[in-house]
Amino acid sequence: MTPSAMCAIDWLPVLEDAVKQRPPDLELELAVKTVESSDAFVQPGAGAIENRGAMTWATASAHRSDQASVVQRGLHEISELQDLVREAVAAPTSAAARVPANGPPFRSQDPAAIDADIPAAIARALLGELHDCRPLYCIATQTRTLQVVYGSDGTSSREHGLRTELALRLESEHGAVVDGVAAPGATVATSPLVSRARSAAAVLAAPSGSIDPTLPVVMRPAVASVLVASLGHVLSGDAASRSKNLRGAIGRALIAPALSLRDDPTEPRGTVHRLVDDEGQPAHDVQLVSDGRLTAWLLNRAAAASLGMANNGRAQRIGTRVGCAPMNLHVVPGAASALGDYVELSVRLETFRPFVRPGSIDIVVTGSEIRDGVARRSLTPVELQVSAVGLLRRVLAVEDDLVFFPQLEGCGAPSLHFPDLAAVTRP
Amino acid sequence: VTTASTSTSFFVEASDVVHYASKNGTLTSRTEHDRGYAITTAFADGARHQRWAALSTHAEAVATLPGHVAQHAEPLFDRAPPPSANDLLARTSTVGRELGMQAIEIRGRLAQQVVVVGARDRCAVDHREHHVIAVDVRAGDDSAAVGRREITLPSRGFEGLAELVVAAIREAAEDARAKIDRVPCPTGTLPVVIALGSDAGAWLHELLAHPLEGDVVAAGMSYLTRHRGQQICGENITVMDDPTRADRSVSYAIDDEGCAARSAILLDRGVVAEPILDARAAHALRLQPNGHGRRTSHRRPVLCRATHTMMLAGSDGTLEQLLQPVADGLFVTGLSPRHMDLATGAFSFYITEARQIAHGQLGAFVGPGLLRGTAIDALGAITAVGSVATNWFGMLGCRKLDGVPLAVSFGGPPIRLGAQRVEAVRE
Repeated sequence: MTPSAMCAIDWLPVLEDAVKQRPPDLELELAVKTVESSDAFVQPGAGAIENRGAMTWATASAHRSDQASVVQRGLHEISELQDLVREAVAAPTSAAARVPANGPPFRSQDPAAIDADIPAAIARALLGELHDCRPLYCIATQTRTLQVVYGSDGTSSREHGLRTELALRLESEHGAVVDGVAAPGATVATSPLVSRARSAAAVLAAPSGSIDPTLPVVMRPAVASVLVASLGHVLSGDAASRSKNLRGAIGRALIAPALSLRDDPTEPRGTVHRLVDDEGQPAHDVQLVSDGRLTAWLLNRAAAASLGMANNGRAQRIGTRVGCAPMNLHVVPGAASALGDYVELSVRLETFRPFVRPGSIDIVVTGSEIRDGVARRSLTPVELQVSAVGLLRRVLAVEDDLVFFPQLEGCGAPSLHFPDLAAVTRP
Repeated sequence: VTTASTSTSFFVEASDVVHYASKNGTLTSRTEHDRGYAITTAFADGARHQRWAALSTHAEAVATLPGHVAQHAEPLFDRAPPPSANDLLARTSTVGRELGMQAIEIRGRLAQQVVVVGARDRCAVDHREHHVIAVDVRAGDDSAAVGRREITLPSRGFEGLAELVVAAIREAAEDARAKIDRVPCPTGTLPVVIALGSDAGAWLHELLAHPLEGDVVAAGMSYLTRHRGQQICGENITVMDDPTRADRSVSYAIDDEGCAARSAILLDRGVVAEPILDARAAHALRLQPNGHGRRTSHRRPVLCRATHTMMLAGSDGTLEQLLQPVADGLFVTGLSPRHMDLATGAFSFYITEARQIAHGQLGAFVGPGLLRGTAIDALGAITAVGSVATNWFGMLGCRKLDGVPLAVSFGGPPIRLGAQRVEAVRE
């Protein structure tokens, strides 16, 4: 049976039968996920690496008092689920006896199958368009997923998805710029990425000079989204459940009153579209910060239980590890008008650890001095080793040009206005 | 547009990884079983087309792969489950408390991989495994007063391990207590001694191994491209990337393309020598592959990757002898990459663990800092190479392109550098 054929099995009744046969003192969750992907790594002047495949994984998570065991393996035959359950439970169980040798057809509506030639074509077209911007490579990926989860707490969910993503790297004498776009579905608009890449290349190629430090600063989405992603680590229920300080922070003023933050798994401009999380729980639209005040956490099952709050469906499984992760976390767009004279921070240069610890950033940025709406000179790259929370307290106004970034955990922001450069470098 | 295909290769993998942990009394175990294959077609222009899928039984391998490859793959489907770490964790997790530590975490990773690599007319099998344990203990509520030890083990068994772990906990507890009295990291230019056989070995990995990866060299993006064949540092400095040393280092007999592993000499007595090559990069540079084609799994294509980057021992004596002439300096045992500009060689690293050197003697631990410089200047500033080299196996691994970590290790003696730029950063 090929991996694709595994999608034809309706896993829910199979998983339900297996979970019902567990030992009575054990909590057990079973998840099955099929992934089909096609990706292309394309470099100018070199042959492309194209890579396609499909696989189905099953994960069994067993919890008993102060012990937890998670086992994950690729599944090729439905009957293999019995070995998985046995290993996770670490004891002989009758669960395997109820796993059938085959099952009825998968009933959920399938998304359109991925077109295996699209990624290489998109990547080549993008590099062709940006040939004068020193691109090192472009990686295009299309991924189709089907996920089914059943848990002993009554969890029962199915979800399917299709996503297209592009990552681009440009080189310069000041360092590398890594940017990208992603969207649910079989296509993704590349024009925003082309526009940003051209703008970044122009900034990095222009002579740099001293900037009027009294000018207001406009932080464009490519830079402002780093602050949002960093704040996402603070707003994670994982962090809140470990920190006495954070536990009591709901209702407190956290950042500037001009800012509100939402995490909306169905936001149309976002990089993902989710209805349930990786534990099979409904993924709700969550208002995390309202007019600067903290209102909620991003929670999975464990964090919700630890904090005594309702789960809002933000579990993310990477391998066998489950944490809390945002789904299109963003600053709610405002209505600020564009300025005439200002310093624009629009380009982020590559560093390995932009989120040096929760709530702090360590990034290198550059941009231009703008007079009457026209770029006059480039800024010498500036290192920002600051508290993201402290920086977001200094925001004066918010524009309405919201953009999301797959390289920043899918977080997004519109342009943010600050009083001056000192407010950004030493908040 | 790709040219006519030149060869087809087969890669079959059975991977079993157990991540086990004990954190303040709670035991967790996460096991990942992965079996699958990839078929790669190589084209004359360097392009690669890869198809991958999961495998579950030998019968599937027989139905999918050439007979001689399937025959070698038979043992991949009949493997004993990995041993449980619960007994080890139960015996050792209380030691930290007995020593007065506030928090203790023991994390282990036991990884076994068997690969079969073949072409139409040949086939080879390689068995790889590693077992690494990291111990973190915290003294009091001071989040920076953390002592850490890592143990790399030659085999998968747990026999006699408890004694090693207990010894590591005791040593880590001593460091944790000493770090309570840490002093701020100095800011300025000062002599630095780097222990290459520690976490700080990442310094060589970033400065020499990545810039000499064949794909980076072929793209003309490496600062070392223009120095090939040139003397850039002392004749007492030889650095290699060597996957053939089995002593506490990442090792293999053949790479993931079936090429025999061999040491790539990156710096030969101070002269920039050969790149790290897979078949694709070797083809682009008109060289022969040198056994550094590595995959993160059968789902990802081969790239040229560093493995065990090490400097040969010199003749300048023990650590004490290297420290002796230093009146005021820093002994660095922990470095984490912050940025590395491949094009210029400019770098910065977070100093994650270091101690003062005062009048040739080790002093107090220092708080966090940054080490900055450019690679050519820093390598040229090496004034002494210790006589005893050790190896160190990283828990985190190295990420390239697809962001999936791949195990790497470092090795070498302590080295002394003349004045280097060091800066304190906020805790």
